[in-house]
Amino acid sequence: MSSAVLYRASSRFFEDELADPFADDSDRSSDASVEGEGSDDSFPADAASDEVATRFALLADELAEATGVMSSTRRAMRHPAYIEILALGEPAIPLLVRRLSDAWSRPLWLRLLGSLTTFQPGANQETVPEAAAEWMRWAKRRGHRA
Amino acid sequence: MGEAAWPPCVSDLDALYAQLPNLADDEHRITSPATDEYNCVAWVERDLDRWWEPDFYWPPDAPEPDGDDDLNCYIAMFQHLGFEPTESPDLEDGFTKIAIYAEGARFHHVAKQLPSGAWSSKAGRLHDVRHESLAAFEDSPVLGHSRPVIFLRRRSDPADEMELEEHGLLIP
Repeated sequence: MSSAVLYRASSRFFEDELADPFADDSDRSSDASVEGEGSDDSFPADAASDEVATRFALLADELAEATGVMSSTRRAMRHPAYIEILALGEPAIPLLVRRLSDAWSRPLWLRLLGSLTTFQPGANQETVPEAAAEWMRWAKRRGHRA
Repeated sequence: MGEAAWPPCVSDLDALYAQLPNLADDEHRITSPATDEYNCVAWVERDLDRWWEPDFYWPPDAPEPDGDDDLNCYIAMFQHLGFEPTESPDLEDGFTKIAIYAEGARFHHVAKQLPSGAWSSKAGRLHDVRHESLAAFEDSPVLGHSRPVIFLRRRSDPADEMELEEHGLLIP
């Protein structure tokens, strides 16, 4: 299955959020906006089965270990483990977001989140920690329980 | 959920040496802990806070690579930062040089020259490394077996001894 097909498949879920969620909009990115939006249960936050979660962990570790010296996350998109994580689809999203809480390979997880959602990996932020925080806020708004 | 334990048991240093097979044979020094907050491109400017890659941080007004790591756009970006082409990586008084590793037209890595003539590289999401020769980052399967093919130079500040690049902050 091509990456483009995977993108389309995973993007079906985001039809209600076609606009860039990281566009400059202080109301959406503020902590206040996170409050009260966590009840949105349309996000398959904990939909990953144990089997998917275990598969994801193996693939993510393999990908991170194999691409550590790469200065470009775009290069990692060719790695078989990257493609396989894309193939996991929406259930991989909360698993990727969870990895952002550790300062380890975050650009890689951000790139994958961008591929799965078509949103900007860097979340229009200047630094990796800021981008990770934005994605975690986004996930919380979508109802993901970290 | 059943996510397996991580971070993985393979240490960052093990990954560094596994992915850079020439490094162990080159005189070198690890000059920083592993960090995912900046990459080799940022390291050229000693920017420890940003990951320089399109979709993350890219200098305003610099051309963005078209597709997958367009080498010419990386060269143009460094020229935007004041670098100019030069023919050799040999030490030249009054200039800081950078060496761009590429595979065909694809950018893979950039190292910067130190006043001593050695080189300093940030290895992806891993460590900063001072390495005596450019060969240390050659022949890496992860970096497409790329080689330093483009050399650029920029007037250097004589007062900047690049202490951070030579010795690092945390490792004596």
